[in-house]
Order: sequence, then C-alpha cells, then structure tokens
Amino acid sequence: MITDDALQQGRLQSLMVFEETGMINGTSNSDFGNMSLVYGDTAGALVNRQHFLKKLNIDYRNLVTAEQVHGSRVAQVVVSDRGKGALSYNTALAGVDALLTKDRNLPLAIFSADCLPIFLYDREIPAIGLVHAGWRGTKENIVAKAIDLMKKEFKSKPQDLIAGFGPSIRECCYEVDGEFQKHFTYGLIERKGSYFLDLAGINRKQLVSSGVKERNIFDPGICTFCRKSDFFSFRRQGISCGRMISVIMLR
Amino acid sequence: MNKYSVEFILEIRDAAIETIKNSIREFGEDIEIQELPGKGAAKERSLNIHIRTEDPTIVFDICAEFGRIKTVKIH
Repeated sequence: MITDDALQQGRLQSLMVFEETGMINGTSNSDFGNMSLVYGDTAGALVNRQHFLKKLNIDYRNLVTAEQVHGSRVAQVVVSDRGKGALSYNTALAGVDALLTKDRNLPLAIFSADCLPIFLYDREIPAIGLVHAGWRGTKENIVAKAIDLMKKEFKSKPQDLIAGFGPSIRECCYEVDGEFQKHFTYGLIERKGSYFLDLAGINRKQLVSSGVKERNIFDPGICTFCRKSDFFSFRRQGISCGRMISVIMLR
Repeated sequence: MNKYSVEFILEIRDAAIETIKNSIREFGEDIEIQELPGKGAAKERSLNIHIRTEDPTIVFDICAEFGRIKTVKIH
C-alpha cells in the first residue's frame, strides 16, 4: 500500500490505494490538471489524461468510463467496450456509476472531486471494480450492488475482495442538512448543531455488510476539501472545479 | 437523419479498430472500418473509415487522437 506520505513527499503522480502485481490502480492529484471532458477546464483534459495515464502505462484512448449520474447502476465491462467514454463523454456507458471487469488490459475510470472512488479487487478470479460513490449512490448502497454483481457474474467471494478508498470529502468537512437523517440511519455526525456525513465510514460498513473483511479495506483517509493544494473539491470550488481521475486495470 | 456521408483514411500505429469504433459510435451511423493492405514492414496501418454523421468535425477530432487523417471525402 502506498500511503499519503508518499503523496506528500514526491508529489507522487498517482495515489495508489493498494499495490498488487496483478493490477494497477491510482487517482490523479490536481497537479495533473482537470481530467473531465464535461466539468472544469475541459480543453486540456485529454492531454492531461494522456500525461497521467502514461505514467501507469495505460493508453488513455482505451479507457472505459461511466456516465456517472449519481445513481446505483453497475455495468460489467468487456473488452469490446474498450474506448467507450475515453475521448468524449457521449460515448461513456449510459446511466452507470460503477464498472466491473475480469478482462485484462481494460482500464476502467471514474472522475470525481468530492465523491468517493472505491477500488475493488478480487485476486482469486481475478476481477476488478471501480465505484463512484457520492451521497446518493451511497444511499442506494451502490458498493453492495457492485459486489452482488461480482458474485453473480464472476463468482467472486466477498471474503476474497480487497477494497480501497480514493480521496474524497471526509466527515471533518462534509457538512449536510439535518434532512440527511432521513437518508442515513448511521454515518451522520452531529457537532455543535451541524451535521457531517461520513461517506467513507458508511461505505466501509456497507462493504463489511457485504462480506468484505475489515482488514481488506484500505483507506488512506484523505480529504479533498482539507487538502487544497493536492485535490479538486466540489464543495470548496463549486461545480466548475476540475475532476480527478481514478483508474484501475488488471494486468 | 445524419446529413453527411464522410469517408477518410486514418493512418494508425497502435490502436484497435474496435476502440476507434467505440469512440465515434455515438456520433453517427453506418460506421464501416476496413483495414487497407499494408506496405511491407511499415509499422503504420491504414484504415478506410466511413460514417454518416451530423458533425464531421467531432469525428475528425476524435480520430485525430488515433493517428493521421488523410484523403477526406464528404458528401
């Protein structure tokens, strides 16, 4: 596992949540620029993707991306999907917020500013998944749905799964309306009359409820809102802020 | 109904035909991609691409990410 220290020291090119020989995963930091073809300064996004992904030996044109509608649909991706969403948002997989595959050399990507990217890896099959978990997706238990589909399609066993959290807004900064009590029965922290959502904590519980072992969940605990110089943050910068890319690929 | 019938040659090095197809699929119909016979040991491969589209510019922009565009015909 590569920790936050590595990121701090060398302005590390990618935040790898866990390091394994059979696959590669990482999240860009804001030094690499905006990665979204929809939000922020989109003009340089393809060049930024190319630059960042080259460091991971991934061809930016081969990415498969999701439309990311803050829903909870999960798609199984196969090699014939290669390139969908790589060069234009129109071709991203429609209505989907999580991607799974057991095909090798097929890079999956999602884009985020405060939402939580969740990497899933099954060493045994092998298979991978990448989940875009904002509060809406989390409310709909998207990570559990991703694991259910891995069980169904790949015969994955949850106890074999490794899960890793990318950078996201954390409970220190994610202030929400009291109305959120309707959506979440746990994971809301009250401080001085205000409510803060523990997005990562809720997803951790959902993972454990799905059968993932605590010790197989890697959480570097990085807050996109706190770390102004390293990450884009929707809450801090507004809708037009850039987006980081999270990517995972089986080798 | 897509207005323009666009045909061009795309010289590529390392891209898969399926990837190119996936990249332009949303921008038109009747997509046909054929590989043209190579010249000896040349590393570059030439593809003949046809698409009916409303927006040739975006098709060219995307295909330019894969290689060099040559011999364009638009009807």
